[in-house]
Order: sequence, then structure tokens, then C-alpha cells
Amino acid sequence: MISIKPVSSLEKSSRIFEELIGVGALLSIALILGGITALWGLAFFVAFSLYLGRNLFYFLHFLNLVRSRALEPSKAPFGVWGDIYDAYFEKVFQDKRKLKRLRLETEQVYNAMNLLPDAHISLNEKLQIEWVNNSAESLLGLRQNDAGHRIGNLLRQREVTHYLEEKNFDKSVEFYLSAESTRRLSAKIVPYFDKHYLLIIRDITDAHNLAQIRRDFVANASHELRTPLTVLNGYLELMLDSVESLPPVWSGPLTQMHQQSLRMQNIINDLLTLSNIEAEGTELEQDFVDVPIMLRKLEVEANQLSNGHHQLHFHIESKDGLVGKTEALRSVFINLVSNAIRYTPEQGEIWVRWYQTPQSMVFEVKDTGIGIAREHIPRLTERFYRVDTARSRSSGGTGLGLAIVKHILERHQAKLSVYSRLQVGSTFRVEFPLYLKKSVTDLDSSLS
Amino acid sequence: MNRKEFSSHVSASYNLYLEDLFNQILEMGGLVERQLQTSVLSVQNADAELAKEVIQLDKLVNREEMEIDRLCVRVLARQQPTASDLRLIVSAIRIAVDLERMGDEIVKISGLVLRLADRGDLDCQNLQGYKQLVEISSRARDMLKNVLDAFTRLDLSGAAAVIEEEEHVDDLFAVAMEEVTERFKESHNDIECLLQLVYALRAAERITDHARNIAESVVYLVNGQDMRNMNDDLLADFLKSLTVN
Repeated sequence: MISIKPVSSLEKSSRIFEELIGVGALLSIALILGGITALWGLAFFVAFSLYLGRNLFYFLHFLNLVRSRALEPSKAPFGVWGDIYDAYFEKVFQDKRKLKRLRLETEQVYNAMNLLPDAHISLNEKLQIEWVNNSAESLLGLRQNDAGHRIGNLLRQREVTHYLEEKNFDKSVEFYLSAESTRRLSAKIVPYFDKHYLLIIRDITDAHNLAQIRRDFVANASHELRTPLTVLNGYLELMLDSVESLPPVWSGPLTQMHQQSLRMQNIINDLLTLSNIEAEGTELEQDFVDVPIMLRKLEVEANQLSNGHHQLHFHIESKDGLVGKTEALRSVFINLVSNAIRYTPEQGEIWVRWYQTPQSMVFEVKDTGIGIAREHIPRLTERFYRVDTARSRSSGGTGLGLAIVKHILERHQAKLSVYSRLQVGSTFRVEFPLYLKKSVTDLDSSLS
Repeated sequence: MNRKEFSSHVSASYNLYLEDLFNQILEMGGLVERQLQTSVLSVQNADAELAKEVIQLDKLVNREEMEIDRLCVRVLARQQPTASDLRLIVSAIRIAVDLERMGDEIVKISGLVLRLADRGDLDCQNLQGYKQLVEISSRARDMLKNVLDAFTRLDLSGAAAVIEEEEHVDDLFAVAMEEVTERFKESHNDIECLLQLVYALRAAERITDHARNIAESVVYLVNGQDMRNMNDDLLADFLKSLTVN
């Protein structure tokens, strides 16, 4: 391809100059002819016809050129037509370059999409496939020429169908590749590019198995440990009952053994609770939980636990309760309050509040305890995570309380937030969504 | 016929009706797939709860069939389809009937599980025939999946593969029946169990027959050729020509 220099204004003016010279030449020929033959009219008519004929010829030639989409520039003619030809070829050249660049970029994006390890499928507004990448071909058995089919027609797994119908694309969905396949996939739809959707499917078999192994291990191990521990505990209690008949050296060790075995039993019970919650699935139970009454009972228990060492203030500002699981919510409240008591020095103050905000129902425990350093806060709900190992053990915690709290709250779509300052105190706030709110009067009217 | 043709009509509602019909068949197919999968699981685990779920699903399947009929009648009455559109309507009606029959056969397989659960009889599960039942119904499930994929993609070689697979299943079925017959001769105690097994095996084999029918409907839909009642040689040649395409 011959490169064409951009039309500069200098050339343009020279081309008009050329044109003027051409017209001038024609006129002088006409003058000479007229002078010789004295047929002035005919001479000027011939010159004019020549000029018109040339213009008509180039006009048709140019039209042909545009129609045939010729990309190779032919020689630019003399005069103003030269300008027109130059401008046209330059435009064609630029278009061609632009097209080439676009094609290159598109190809680059396609290649990148094909290298992605997860299956990417582009869907249009009606959830029909537009294109699929290589991973989608190898992972799901889709083909490039599946374009135009509805994705639900090719992925007919129940979970996927349900997900596509629900159109709640904030969530992701997990499913098995096929009836007999052990490969677990996770799919998520992301809206993009003005009414298009990108369906991203990744193989989560390994992660899924790992999570399953962890859950199974905790459940099995704690279950298996419980029986031997009960035997040990039983005999220890028996021996402690008749401690007088034993050599006095043994009474100390026996008491300690008993304490430790009780502690171990607590841990195992908590682990079992945790794996039970995990196994239950996400459906919410529809019990009515009368939170104010529950908190009043809790106040009595908390005072016993504190044994007069702390000042406890219970502010029950809302009369409303919640829809949820009674036992589970009770253990959330007890865990948070007993944590506050455990980590607040003597004479400290603890406020427990139950109130409603425009967005949520809130349960809040605020203490003037030792506080938690910033780096520990995100990890508080991990199993067996301890801020200060020695201190927590001495206070008899199992390290599982907040993990249990977190799981129960997830089941209730509630949010736990922790605000804390070292040496000043901590606030644990639980926000329940308002659609879980249920008041005693609602209950009465539904009964009658 | 290819998929572009749905959007080729001048009338937008016509396109939409055909598209609806197509999607409805696949929805029904997905439902039967799920029913069959549940049934296979119920046989494998001798789980009566799953078997009951299969029977529940059958009601949905029956309702879907009526819906497909309604859609077909709508297109027939309003648009007077011709050529590939008419073939789509004809095969839709056929496929719907096949799927519905499949649903009924699947219920029969689950009936075995329920009956055995009532008797509390575990011997039956140890019979060779029981294992072959699982084998045949698993194959039926894969065939159903493949034939639905072939229908979605209007893929002739996929349909041909299903038809060939059906022949293999026929052989498997013959072997299973032979073994069950042998057992009949030697034992007198578990007659009921064997009888149920025969019913279930027969039902599983019928499911693969229906899958084959659907594959034939797909061939008819795509190139208009009717391949029922072909003799073996003709069929083999024909299948070869489909796979080559």
C-alpha cells in the first residue's frame, strides 16, 4: 500500500492553482482558435465542452472508485479532482488502519478470554449465548456454535434453572456438572455492557471438598471424643465424692483433673453445636422469640455470673421480638453478655440495650473492659482464635463462643459489628433486619 | 433447518411463539431429566422418600405436556405454519408425548423401590438384575441428556449417537432378562421381588426407547426424513450419513 501524505493547505492551494492554470490554458486555446477561425462562439463552446467533459469523466470515474471500494490509490488527476481523490484515499487508508487496530484489539481480548481458567459465557438480554471462551468449552462442553441458544436450554441443572428464573444475580449458585460427575461448580452472573450478562462458572471441587472435610472432621472428632470423656468425668466425680477415703495427696490433682475434663466437655459441646448449626442449612425457623422477656431472664443470670463485681444496666427499649430460633438466639445473647462480664475488670460497667432503629432491630452490649486491639477484631469469630491466650484460658472460655454467634447470626441474616478501644471498652452490636421483627400484638392477632 | 430460522419470520409474535414452544420442550425435558435422576438415586440407595418425590414430579411433567399441546395448537391455529415450522410443531407434539410416557415409566421404576421398602426386603437388592436396573436407568439418563442437547443444538450426529446407544441397551436388557428368568427357575421365595424387578427393567428399557423416539423426531425436525420402520442395513447407512454431516 502506498502511503498518502496528508493533504496540506499548501498543496490544496497549489491544486486550485493547477485548476486555474488549466482553465486559463483552455481559455487561451479558445481565444487563439477564435482569432484564427473568427468563429468565437464555436471556439468557446468547444473549450467549455472539453472542460465539462473532463469533469464528467472524473466524476464517473470517482463514483466507480467509491462503488468498487478500491483501496489501492490510482494516480491522482490534475486539478481540483486531484484533491478529491487524495482526500478519499487518505480516508480509506485511515479507516483501514483503524479497522486493523480494532481487529487486533478484539483478537487480543478474545485470546485473553480464552486463557482465563474460569468459564466465561456472554449472554444477551434474553439470556441467550453470544460467545463462550475455551474454558467453557472444556469445562461445560459448550461449543462456539451454541451462540443463540438460551443458556437454560443447555445447562438444565435444577439449581441453574432456579437461579436464572430468580434473576437475583447478587448471589452465586453451586451445582454439580452432571448427574454422575463429582465436579462441583459455582456460577455467578454479572451484568455488563448495557443489558448484557457475563456468566462466570468456576470449578470449586477442591474448595468444596476441603470445607466438607473440615466440617466432617470437627463433627466426627467431637462426637467420638464425647463418650470417653463422659466415662472419665463420671469416675472423677465418683472419686471426688469419696475423697476422704483417698490419700490426701490426691485431692488437689483430682479437683484439677475434674475441672479440666469439664472444660474439655464444654469445648466439645460447643464444637457439636457449631457443626449442628452448619449442618442445618440456611432455612430460617419460624418461631416467635420474645426478646424482652428473654433479656429479663438473662439479666438475672448475668447478675449471678458477675456475682456483684460489675454494674449491669439492662435497657430494654423495644417491646418487639423476632422471628427466628429461640435456643440459638438465647445462646447469642448469653455469649455476648458473658464475654462482656469475663473481660471487664471488677467494678466495671456493662450496658445491654435492645432497641429499634429505622433500618434494624439492634441488640447491643457495651462494656468498660480491657478492649480489643484493631488487628484482632476481624479474626474474633474464627474458631479457637484468642486475643490473649493465657488470660482467656484462665477465664474458662472455649474459644468457640463468637464462632457460634457468627454462625447463628448468619442464619438470621443479622450483622455483627464490633467497636473497641484498648483499655476503654468494647461494643458488640447485632443488627437484625426489620423483616424479622415481630411484636406480641402481631402474634395475638394471628392467633385470634 | 437451523436455529436462525426462528427469527426469520416477518411476524414478531410468530417468532416468539416458536421460541416459546422450543424453550417449553426443553423445560419439560429438564424436568424429566431431574425426575429420572431422582429415580436412579432412589434405586441406588433404596430410598422410599426419593421415590415419592419422583411421583410428585410426574404431576408437573403431565402439566407441562398439556402446556406444550396448548402452545402447538396456538401456533397451528393462528399462523398456519409450513415447512420447518410445521415440522417443529409436529415433533414438539411427538416429543412431548414421549417425555410424558418417560415420566410414567420412571414412576414405575420408583414403584419397585416403594414396594421393596414396604416389604423391608433387602435380599432383592443383592440380585444381579437389580444392579443391571441401575445400569440401564443410568444409561437412560445419559441418553435423555444427550438427546435433549441434540434437540437444543439441532445436532444430527448427537441424535444418531443416541439411536446407536439404544441398540446397546437392548442387548443389556436381554442379558438382564435372561438372568432374572434363571432366578425364577431356581427360587420360589422371592417371586414378588423378581416380578417387580422385571417390571422395573422393562420400564427402564422403555425409557431408552422413548429417548430414541425423540432422537428420531430431532432427525425429522432437522432434515425432514422419517426414519421409523427402516430395516437394519438401511438404518446403519442412514446413521453413518448423519454422523458424517
